[in-house]
Amino acid sequence: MKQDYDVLIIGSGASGGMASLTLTRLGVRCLMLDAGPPLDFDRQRAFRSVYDLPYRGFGEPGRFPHVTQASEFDANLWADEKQNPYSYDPKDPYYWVRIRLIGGKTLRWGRASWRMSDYEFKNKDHDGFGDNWPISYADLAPYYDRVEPMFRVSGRKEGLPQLPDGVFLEDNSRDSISVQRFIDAAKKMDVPTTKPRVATGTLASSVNLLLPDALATGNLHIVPNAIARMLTVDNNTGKVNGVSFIDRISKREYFAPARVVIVGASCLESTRLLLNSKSRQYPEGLANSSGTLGHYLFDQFYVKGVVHAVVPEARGGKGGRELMGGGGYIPRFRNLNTREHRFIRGYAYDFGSGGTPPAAYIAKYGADLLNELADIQGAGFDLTTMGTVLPRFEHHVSIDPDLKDAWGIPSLRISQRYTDNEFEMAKDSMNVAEEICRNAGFEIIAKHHQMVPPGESIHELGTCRMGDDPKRSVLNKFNQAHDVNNLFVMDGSAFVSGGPQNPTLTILALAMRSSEYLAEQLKKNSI
Amino acid sequence: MKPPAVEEIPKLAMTNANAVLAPAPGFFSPEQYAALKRLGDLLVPASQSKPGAAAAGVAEFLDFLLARSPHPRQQLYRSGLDRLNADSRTRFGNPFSLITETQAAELLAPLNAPWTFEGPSEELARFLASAKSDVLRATVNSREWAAASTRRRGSGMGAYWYALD
Repeated sequence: MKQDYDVLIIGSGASGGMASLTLTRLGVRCLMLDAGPPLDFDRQRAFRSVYDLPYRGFGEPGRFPHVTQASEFDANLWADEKQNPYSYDPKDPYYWVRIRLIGGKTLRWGRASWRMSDYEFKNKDHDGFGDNWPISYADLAPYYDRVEPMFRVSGRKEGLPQLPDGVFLEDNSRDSISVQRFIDAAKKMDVPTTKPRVATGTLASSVNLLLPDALATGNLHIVPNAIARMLTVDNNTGKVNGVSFIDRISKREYFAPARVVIVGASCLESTRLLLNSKSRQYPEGLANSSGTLGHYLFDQFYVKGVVHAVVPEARGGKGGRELMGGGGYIPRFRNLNTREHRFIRGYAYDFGSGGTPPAAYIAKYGADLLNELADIQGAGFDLTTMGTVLPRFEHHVSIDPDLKDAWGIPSLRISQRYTDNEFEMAKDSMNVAEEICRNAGFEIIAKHHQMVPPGESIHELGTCRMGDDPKRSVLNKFNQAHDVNNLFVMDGSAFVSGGPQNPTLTILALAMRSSEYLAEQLKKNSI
Repeated sequence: MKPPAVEEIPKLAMTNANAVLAPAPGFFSPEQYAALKRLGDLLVPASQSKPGAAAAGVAEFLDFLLARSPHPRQQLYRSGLDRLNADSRTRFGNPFSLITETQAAELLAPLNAPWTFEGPSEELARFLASAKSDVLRATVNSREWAAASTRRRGSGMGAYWYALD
């Protein structure tokens, strides 16, 4: 090797970015590989009119069967589905949404930044289902405290045990009248609300908040377009000793030797890499002596637009900023101090005021439709449910023996479906949302409880979970493989369970915590 | 004195073909196409301030879009338009493009049914629901709609990412 590195990091998104910054600041020399190229915001981006695009904003038909988020404007940012295929049982479609660029999905995330609580970390203690995490909220709280200022998270402190407060840019903005009416109606039903908690700034990505400072230490090299094929193992020690990768453009093969490897390639890509890294010592995939690698896949379910309403006073263009605009969040309120009969755990909502409901909801056409749309323009009020999905062993990913990507690397077969607990929760969320809106004096124009397919929330989690018991988990509480002590997996695959909270903030905090642990171990020479 | 082109490379003004030329339709049969044009007029008619589907070239655009669309969607459109023509002939003795607005309203009655997440089960109703949404979107996203917009900043602008290497 021409250069000498302490740690090899695969992936440059939330977890890889945070690992690189944490380690390089502590003097650890890192090499980062990412499957994608860097973006050039000046050269590759331009403001254009939708009518000038080839498909008038509809997008190239059939290009992204599973990426509902891709628009014709940003289609080139999402991972190509033909080059990166995967499979599932047609009865149980899975929407695997990927970005292969320096910065990963932090280039496109919704920025919602919620802490998890011991209702998630210790969920088994509450309802007996599944497993607790090997860490508690108290272990992670100091790291949340440091991540939030880095990502300039705005929010309002509420003192809710199920949604711990953080170090926020205080959001003291006034609520519009419609939002205040909604909040009052929710309060009467004992449903809590709060301001959004979001990372602020023009861009809130690994690309601008993590990687530049890591590079500035002089301890980081980033190699783009490096598609990891498999991790290799030293036959004598059983430790991982490097990664073979292929250059995306030239298709030239490389090998990067490593003392320590951090995998942060995104939840399912990390697990795919480990499953593809079979060897004499690890015939079922690297670090998989437990047989749990690939299992306990879950995500969050979304019911997009669970209720669409109209604020009657805002019809006819009478909305205005006083009455309409803004929004907020309803934290989980089910199964905290009381017990639901039909489901365990709970869900949250995003709510927003001031949109225009889609034409599809209006049972009219022609001039009548156009007049109605003009009448309700800016008068909409809508909610989206985000619900807890239970991690189950049988929901899993495996290597599809008959499918390879454009670089000849075996692809994943994904098996996940929602079960009664999620269905019941989705129904409950529709009924509650409708009741709050009615009590607020809004007109309901559409409601439903159909969850988007598994994966579509882009909050896939699990498959390489942590735990205290090496027989039932892949990683220990520091994201370190039980079987291979110089291998760390730091992304969402490490999650034992989740809640309604979006996971990125927790991924960042875990990566920071485990990277500091790793730096200490390197200092003590104990890896 | 050197000619200016030697010192600096000029940036030439280009014209988008859609702005000055009519594209050649080819996916739908002439009868389907005539029905689609009429359907566009009925779904999104011109108003005093905004162009309708006709002025926005929606039928021409959908002919192009559907030619490249997955087969089930092509089938939905083709059979939907055929069905409109067949029902129109049976009930009113003329193809869909030639019946009156009142007569057409009878055939478009499924659009007056309340929305459900699953959408209508009947094939014609499914086609009409899809066409309603597509025609409106294609109209609102047209050059003609943007030109008629009174907003100072066009609402159809976005950050476009070019193909990456």
